[in-house]
Amino acid sequence: MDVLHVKATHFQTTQINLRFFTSLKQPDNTVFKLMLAMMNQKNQMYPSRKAWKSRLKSIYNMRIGASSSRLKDLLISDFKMTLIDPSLVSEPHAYFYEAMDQLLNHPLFDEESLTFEKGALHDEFLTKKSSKSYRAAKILTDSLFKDHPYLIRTAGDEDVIDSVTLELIKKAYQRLKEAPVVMSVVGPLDEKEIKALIDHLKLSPKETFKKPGLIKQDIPLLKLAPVKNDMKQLLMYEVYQTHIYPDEALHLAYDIFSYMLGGDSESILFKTIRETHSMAYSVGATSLDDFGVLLIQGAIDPQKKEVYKEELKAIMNRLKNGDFDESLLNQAKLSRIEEIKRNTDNKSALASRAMHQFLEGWPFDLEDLIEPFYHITKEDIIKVALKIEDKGSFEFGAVHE
Amino acid sequence: MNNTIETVTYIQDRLKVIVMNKPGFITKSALLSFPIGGLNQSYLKEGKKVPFEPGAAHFLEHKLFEDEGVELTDKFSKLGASANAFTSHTQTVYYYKTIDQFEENLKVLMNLAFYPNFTEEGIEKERGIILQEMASSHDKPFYKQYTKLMEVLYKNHPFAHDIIGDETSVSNISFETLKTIHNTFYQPEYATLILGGDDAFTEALKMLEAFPFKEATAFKKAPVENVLLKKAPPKVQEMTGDVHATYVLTGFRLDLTFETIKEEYTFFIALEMALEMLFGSSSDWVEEKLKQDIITESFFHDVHLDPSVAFVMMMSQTRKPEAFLKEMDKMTQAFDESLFREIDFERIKKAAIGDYILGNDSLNHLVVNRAYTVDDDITRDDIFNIQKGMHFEDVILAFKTFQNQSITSSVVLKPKTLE
Repeated sequence: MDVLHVKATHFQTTQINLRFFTSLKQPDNTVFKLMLAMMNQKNQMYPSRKAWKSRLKSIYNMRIGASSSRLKDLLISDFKMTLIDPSLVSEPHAYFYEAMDQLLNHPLFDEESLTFEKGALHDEFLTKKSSKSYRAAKILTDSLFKDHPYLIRTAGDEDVIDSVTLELIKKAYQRLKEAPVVMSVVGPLDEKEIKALIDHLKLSPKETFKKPGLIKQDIPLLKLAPVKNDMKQLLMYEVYQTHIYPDEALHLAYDIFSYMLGGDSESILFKTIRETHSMAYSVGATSLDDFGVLLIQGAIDPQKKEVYKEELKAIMNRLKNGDFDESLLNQAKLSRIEEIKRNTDNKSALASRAMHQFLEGWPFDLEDLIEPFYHITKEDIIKVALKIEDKGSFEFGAVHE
Repeated sequence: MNNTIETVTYIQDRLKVIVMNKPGFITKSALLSFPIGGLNQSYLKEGKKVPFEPGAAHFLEHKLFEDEGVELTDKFSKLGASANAFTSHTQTVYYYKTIDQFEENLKVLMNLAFYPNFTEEGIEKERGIILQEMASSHDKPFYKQYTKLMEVLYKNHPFAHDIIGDETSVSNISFETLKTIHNTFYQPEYATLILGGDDAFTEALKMLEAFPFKEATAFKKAPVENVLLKKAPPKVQEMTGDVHATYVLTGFRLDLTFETIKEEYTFFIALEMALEMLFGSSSDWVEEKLKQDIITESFFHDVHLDPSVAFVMMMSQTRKPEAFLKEMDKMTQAFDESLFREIDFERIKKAAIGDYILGNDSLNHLVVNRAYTVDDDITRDDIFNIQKGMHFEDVILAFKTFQNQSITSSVVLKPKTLE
């Protein structure tokens, strides 16, 4: 088993992630979602929601639970535990390891629990659909990525929920136990205690972790009719194919490009769309790296739609022509570098850095990590901009005929 | 348990500075807080109260980042810092975090707050942005539900107004208004500066001792209007929205007075503990109501405490809104002492210890959390000590008071009928 250990004694708690990797396909995404929800509610020693939650509260409100996420075409079942330094509360480490053992190794799968979690997942979808931005994003991504292998959502599929059986749940759990697992530990916990935890959990995956390759697939031209909704604002999405993927040399320059464009209050979008034209309160850029896609989203004044679209076109053209001040690039580099430095004080960011080192071979050491950013040039940014291809736009909300 | 050392000093006998020395962290933070928020809608001029538009505090927060047409966030960024601000009901807060050039950034922060340079042209531009911020909130049905509840629970009270104001009030805010409220509330005597990080901040304090504060102005902050209606609000209101399920939001208003700040905090901490025992994730009530399908996993409760405003909120998505409302009614009826068990109380106390330790690991959490209680002069450690020293009987008493004194109202949000 791979263990990524970041010893950081300035923290008083240790964040431990146990990530199990299985293949992401349907209906497994929904089955695993339900399985993890059932594991979060109860287990053999604490066979009711109340009993389990009471136990966690009594061990200093220990944060512990499982959730799912995606890594390329793999489903990650992430068991996360935040461990208080036991010496602060005069308790032994095993006191807390027992909870992780119960969660991971002694699940209680029964029909009552499955029925409850199915209902809860349906409710979750109802609440998500009550958010206009969620609905808009779903319509957009369903259209853009409908033939893409990465579209399978780890949040599950609403129309599959009712068909999941207890048998499928138990089979999924077996697959989980045999799946490759990577552990990351960030905080004051020492090697001896990490070994004690691994021994306590009796982890013995049957497979070793194999790093997944990246499936690169272009998105089609967007042909989505505007969706009218009774809103004051218009949600605008501009979609671009970047043709730049995380495993490519130009990706670092793209990282800075997207920061320059829509990262923060000094970004081009913020300054132009919000501060200069007062067209929007919220505007920004999101990178969907695995898809090679850049999204610019804005919640705008519907009267200013045409001006907004023209302005975005003008911004992209200026970037392609190199018609921008180098100070913008230097500022984006500085901000990005400082952000990475500050992440040393954040356990989740450190865990993420350790995973990137393990998965992609990125440096972990801070100086090695930020060094390449200093060498990104204006020519690199122009190269990135020239690769970016406009794939269309989508409107949701206060659509005017 | 807490390795943060806090010291308080006064700069030029005017500005209160709290230094939070947090060993081991490379990030340093500075936060400047002023006692003006959504609740403040007047100032004192020669002893007379002069009203100003709701939303002015928030508008001013936006404008202080302008320096004759240039955004001050750029200055922070050029110095390697990340800056932001927010306005709550009771305060406006400006802060930055950085690793290097701390004093240079502090200078920018101090000048931003005490020597504003916004323009009339800039105000018009910002008005458009704030109106867009407002439109964004109005597009959210849960926001509308919350606003509707506050409008009836706090009718005639400034709390009923959104912090950012409304379309009319924001359209009426003038350059003069902003200048005046700045002259009133942005005086060093009213402000608190918090410096956090692995540093004694000696250089920063030296720089502050030389900062050219302006003379005190003739304007003074006015106390918040406390004009709560005695008449009970409507029990239940219904509304429809672009949602796919029914959600019930219930507010329990508490109009209580206390001899001291510590008494007030002790009461509300006891109440929070009581509510957690009775309605938290490990409670019998939640387990039972989930089984009865009266609540869903979305159920939550929260205690809100501001000067002159205190309420408890409970909300759930529900397929049985009438049954949920009945449960909310029961809250303020017959007291059942058997619901309170010492074992649950001890559990909640242990949970509070764990939350406290976890909070120690985030400098941002420590600094911002400290800002929330600067005006009451209560520290995070004070709150933690109150929790640790809480007696079981105090928790029961707090809940009894809540039951006897609450003024309740609910808003039921239902899906719009499909046409």
